[in-house]
Amino acid sequence: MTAAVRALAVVDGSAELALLDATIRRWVEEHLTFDDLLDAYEDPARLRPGPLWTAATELGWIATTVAEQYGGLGLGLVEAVTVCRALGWAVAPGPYLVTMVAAEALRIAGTPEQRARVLEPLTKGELVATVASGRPGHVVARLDDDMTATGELGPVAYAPLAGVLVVPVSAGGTVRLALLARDAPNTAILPRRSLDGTAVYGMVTLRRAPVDVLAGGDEAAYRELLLRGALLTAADLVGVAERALELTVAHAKQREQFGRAIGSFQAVKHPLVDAFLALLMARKGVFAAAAALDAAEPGAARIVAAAKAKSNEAAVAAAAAAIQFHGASGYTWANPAHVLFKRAKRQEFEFGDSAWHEATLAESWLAGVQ
Amino acid sequence: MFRAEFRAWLDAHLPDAWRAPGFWYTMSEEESFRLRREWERQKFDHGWAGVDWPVEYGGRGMTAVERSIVEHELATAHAPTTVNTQIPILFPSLLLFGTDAQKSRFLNPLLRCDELWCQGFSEPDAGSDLASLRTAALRDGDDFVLSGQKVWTSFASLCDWCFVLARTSSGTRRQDGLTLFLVDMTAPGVETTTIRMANGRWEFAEVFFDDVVVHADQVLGPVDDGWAVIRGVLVEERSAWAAQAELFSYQFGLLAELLRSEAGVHAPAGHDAASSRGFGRVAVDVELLRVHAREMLAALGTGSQVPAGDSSATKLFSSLTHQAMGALFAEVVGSPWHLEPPAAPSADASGAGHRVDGIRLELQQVFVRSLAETISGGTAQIQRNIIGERVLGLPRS
Repeated sequence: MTAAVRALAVVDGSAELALLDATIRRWVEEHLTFDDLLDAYEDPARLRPGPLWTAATELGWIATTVAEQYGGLGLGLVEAVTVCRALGWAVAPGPYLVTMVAAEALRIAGTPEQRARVLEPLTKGELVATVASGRPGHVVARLDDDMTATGELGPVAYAPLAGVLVVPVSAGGTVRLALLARDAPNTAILPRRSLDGTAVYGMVTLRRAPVDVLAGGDEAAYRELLLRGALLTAADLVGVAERALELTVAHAKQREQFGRAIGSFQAVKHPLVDAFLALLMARKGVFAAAAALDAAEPGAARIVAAAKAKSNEAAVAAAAAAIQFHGASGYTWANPAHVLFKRAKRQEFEFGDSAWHEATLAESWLAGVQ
Repeated sequence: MFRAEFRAWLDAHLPDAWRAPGFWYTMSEEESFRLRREWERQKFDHGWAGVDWPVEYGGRGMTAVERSIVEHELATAHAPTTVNTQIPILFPSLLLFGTDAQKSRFLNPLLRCDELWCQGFSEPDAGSDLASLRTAALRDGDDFVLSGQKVWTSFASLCDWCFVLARTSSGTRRQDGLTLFLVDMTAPGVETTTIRMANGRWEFAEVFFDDVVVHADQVLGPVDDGWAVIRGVLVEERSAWAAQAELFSYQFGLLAELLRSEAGVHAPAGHDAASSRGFGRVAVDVELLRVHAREMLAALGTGSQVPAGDSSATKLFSSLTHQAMGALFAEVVGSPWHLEPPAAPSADASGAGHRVDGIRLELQQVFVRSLAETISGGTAQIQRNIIGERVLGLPRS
């Protein structure tokens, strides 16, 4: 392993986390090539559960936070961000992250019956789930007295592949979280391809679609769910930033112009360091936020906000650097740089863009909380 | 228990006026030095200075855990930082490389601030390229004779001793042949000239050495291998930046307070400073700096080593964040940011009306001073080279 790879593969935390991280990355190195990702770009059918999904469910990667009684690992978000970061590094095509966030909705707000119904098939790999997260804080569907939901939910990540969707709905001036079955009546899910070929979206429209309200799914649960979505997405972005920097640093060490490696030029070196610095701080933020949420610390929401904003910056900067410093070949279809860049720019806007998280933090400071 | 004990001591001994925003910017460097020197002696005499220093050198022989507790409490109480600014470098240098006689002679007065120290590294033609320095020390029996010029030496005129990096021979590498000397600032042939800094303060100085006789027992570490000493301890200096996170966080809180207080802000109409993205952007970095600082203090507590690249990253991130915070102050206050506050606080005045002026004064000074932070202790460009080469493994520039 080169010095660069060592520095980028630092795992904050225990030896167990390092092992989990290394296991996923090794699986990816052996089974998932960049060409596979490009195949997914050409044929969205390849986003359906395949060998990686089988490994991720059999080894419990996507069920770290699910209780053991439902077939999960019964661990915490620190393990979950380790998984999402490694899968972000893999630029894994498929509904891993959204399924993990949806599982969190059940952990936070489900009854034992609801949990069993969703989490048992989920941990067996038989059920894909997702969350209609939309713009955080903007709940667009309404819940009527007959327990049906109506509204245009807009684009929902991996909805065409999901068997169940977690849907926030407004009810009597407050927010409730509800489960929507993929095949529920009066539900339309129109598939839409994404510029990021590692994902597919569905435009979800509900016209009095029957839903199953999560027992504890109140406004606080909705906010908790958004935090977890932002955290896991930030971890995905950290992984993307690591992969982009690894590739670019390796290239800058090997590619020679003017008789020397281009990485020796400060015009190349310093922007890479700036991207690394953003990555370093984003990674610290992600692991600190996960630990804070696991411990239910009062400052957890702020660290999540900082971590998501910084991860956005790190991933986009690293992926943009990957394109730029690979030169013209960095702008070819065969080069992984565009795959990383598109993943980064898609995830940047999921579960709150930087402006939203910055505003959250600003409001906290201006309210006098230090 | 230890924390509670120290907190109680701080509450009883740290004057309220000192905690008022802007307080330290209302006086000359001399007056600030006098008060802070007195404070360090008080801390020392009550057993709160250098808690992790060996008992024989004035400390309490405790661990880095207690040290991190003390540092955290001092920062959150807004107590002044030590006036012996070179302790983070000098203490480990003396402890690791000093002779027993040097440790006995220098460590205790260093900690109690009975003797203040300055750093003689930079020269007019040797800044980032420190190894090109030309101050020379020639062997003469049991003595060395030191000649040359140092510059950007902070507070030289207020200091009693200077640790000087000088050339004693020409080695195969430029870093070879350099030696560290402990030099008495009152020795014949030492002259200082103060230089006014961009913020108006008289902190910098030039120090001239004109055939200054330095005895061989004032050499710190091996002759001709001073580079090995400073290479190790410059890492320590940068790690000290982590302790600044609480201070930055405190200052950012002052900015939020200023924004909440209408009296403090005269932003142009329509300029909604509170909702501007600038504030949130800096808030992200302040939050992460705190996360990072907590990690660094925890690492200090377990005694784990800070890798060179990590401390450079800390220095770079801290200094850039502080500059962004300073610029944000000007942005949210708008055109009058540059005006001197009408009623600056003083040692005996800390009423509510003065508080806003104190905040303005402090943040105004943060803004101007922060410009130096990407230069001092190794420029941002040098830090990027270090991180690029030692962490990312990129080829040398």
